[in-house]
Amino acid sequence: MGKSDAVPIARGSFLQPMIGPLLIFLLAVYLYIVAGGIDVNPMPGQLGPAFWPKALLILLMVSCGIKAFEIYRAPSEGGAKKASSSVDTWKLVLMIVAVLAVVFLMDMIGFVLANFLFLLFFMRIAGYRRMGRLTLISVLGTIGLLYLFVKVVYLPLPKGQFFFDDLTIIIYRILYII
Amino acid sequence: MVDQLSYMWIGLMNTFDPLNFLMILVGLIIGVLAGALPGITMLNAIVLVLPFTYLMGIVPSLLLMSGIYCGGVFGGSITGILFNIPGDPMNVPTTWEGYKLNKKGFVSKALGMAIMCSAIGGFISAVLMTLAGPPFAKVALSFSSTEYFAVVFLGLASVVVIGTKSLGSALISMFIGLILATVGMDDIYGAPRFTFGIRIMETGINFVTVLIGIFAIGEVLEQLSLRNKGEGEIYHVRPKTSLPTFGELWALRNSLLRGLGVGTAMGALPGSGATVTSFVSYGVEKQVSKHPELFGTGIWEGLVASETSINASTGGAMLHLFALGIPGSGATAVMMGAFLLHGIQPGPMLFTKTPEEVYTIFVGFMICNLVMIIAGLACAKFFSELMRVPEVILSAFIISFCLIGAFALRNDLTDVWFMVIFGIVGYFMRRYDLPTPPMILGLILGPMAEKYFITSMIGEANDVTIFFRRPVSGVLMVASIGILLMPLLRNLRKRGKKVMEGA
Repeated sequence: MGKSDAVPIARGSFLQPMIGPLLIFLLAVYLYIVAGGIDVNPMPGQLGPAFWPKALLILLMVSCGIKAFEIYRAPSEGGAKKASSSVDTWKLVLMIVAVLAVVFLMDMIGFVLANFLFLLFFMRIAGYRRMGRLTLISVLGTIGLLYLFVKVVYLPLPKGQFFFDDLTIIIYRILYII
Repeated sequence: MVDQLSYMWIGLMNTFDPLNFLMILVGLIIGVLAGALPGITMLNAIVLVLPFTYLMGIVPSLLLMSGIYCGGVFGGSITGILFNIPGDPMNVPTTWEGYKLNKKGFVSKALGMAIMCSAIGGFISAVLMTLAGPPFAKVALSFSSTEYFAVVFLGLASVVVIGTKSLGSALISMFIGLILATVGMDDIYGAPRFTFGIRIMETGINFVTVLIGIFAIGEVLEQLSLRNKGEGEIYHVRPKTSLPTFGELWALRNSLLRGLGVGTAMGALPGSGATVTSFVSYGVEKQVSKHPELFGTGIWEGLVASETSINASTGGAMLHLFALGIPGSGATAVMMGAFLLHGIQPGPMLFTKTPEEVYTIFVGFMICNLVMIIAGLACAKFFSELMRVPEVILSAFIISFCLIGAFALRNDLTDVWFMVIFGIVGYFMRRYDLPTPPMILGLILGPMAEKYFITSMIGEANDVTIFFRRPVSGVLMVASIGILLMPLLRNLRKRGKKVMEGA
């Protein structure tokens, strides 16, 4: 192989993929220490409640070692599956925030409003451009889900707190759900 | 045998009860559509209907899920053959040949062949499951915790090795799942573990929340976060379908039988799943073919073998759930969730406690595979209409369904938080090539593995050699160790070959 054909191996080419297994290894060590504090005295001669998780954590540490060895042997296979350029990071972050926010809002303002806002914003973030249709889909979609799960399946979806609790009841009454 | 036939007759009558038959039909349609729509997998669909099963009995619930299972494993082939987009990873081998056959002008025949082979594979596997169920359960009843631990261990070993590129990644994923399963109150000693003082953690992490999060939320985030992804492509194709003649099927009987054999055998192996089965079947077909070079260019043998094997694996996976109480795949894991939601523990006792219900589900599963021909034809025809719903809208509603599904488990938002967090974790696991199925199987099989291991140890004074001294568990343990050592041996052989070539 000529000099120009040689593929230079970057100094950090196998160190970067090692970060994942290393973090998992450290977490396993921490949990092993936590498992040491499981304080129930088993019957004499028995393994006790801490044995199983401790054994699993040791095996997890060994697995991290196996993974590290694999990366060392074939560094190119240890990295991220997709090139970071193919992922729209902002879109991803906003979608994750939307998903986390809807759970928080379900508790605060109730499922009806939280789901409507979620559908509206999530579809917009994900790339749906037509605002009129988007709003209509969000309203009708939320109503459809309410009929299906509250009226048909009798699922007590979160109604929200304080004023929103009453508001949800009013919406249910307007829609003949209750 | 007479008992079995009479229960089958009762099962047949029950299957045609209007509600039960309706559930089969609805399940098949949902399954085929879910399997066909990229971004929604059959597993997502089974998870999404879980809240609806609260108000049903166990039989219609399971028939609904069986319908989705049957239809779902086939559905992905429709988009694979039509648009080169497999609805599910298991439909990839079908896509390799089916799309090329489509390009050659055999689209209607390819769709028809896929439907027919799926139905044949699924029906025969359902018959085998029905016949093998009681003897399998009888053997299972003679098992002690030692044998059960060995079975669970085999399941874990299989899922780690088969179908994953990196043994290290698969092991890490599986042990994370097993450790997650230890969170909460310990069943044997009553001690809280890894609860960090949070009260709700004492009840543990429900595997359904992890399942929904990883498969649905993770998938949606992965699909929509890709750059240049707009509202999603819209297709305007109206597919036509024509079923193959008997002569055409007879000409492909060997491929069909091989697909059936591989599917049934792989299905009987806990944890292998339909995806692995379809790839193995395709590989076997290529190995035995006189023209392996034609594979990938649009060859009927490849399509027939992979498509038959996918549905043939479903019976084995169901058998594990019913006879051993151990799910053999992700789909049957959710079905197990449905059993538990109804307060029923699946396992060998089902055959003695509720044989009529078991046989109704078994016979219903057979009928599912026959009705699937009609449902498949209908769905293929109308499919182009659904393909016109932009992916963004579908994905947003998938998340809404997931939020409700997770909340419905215990009417508690903590489960929704768990689901969302595991969804985000699932996304990053996919992105960094950490396989998610071993984690799910670890989470599901973990409590069983611990219970059977600790019980065996209590009974045998902590003597681990008991797992090797009892004949059934010994064979299973040796097989598991063999499976675990397989990648190592494969690597050594490769290295030896390289050394020989170098010399």
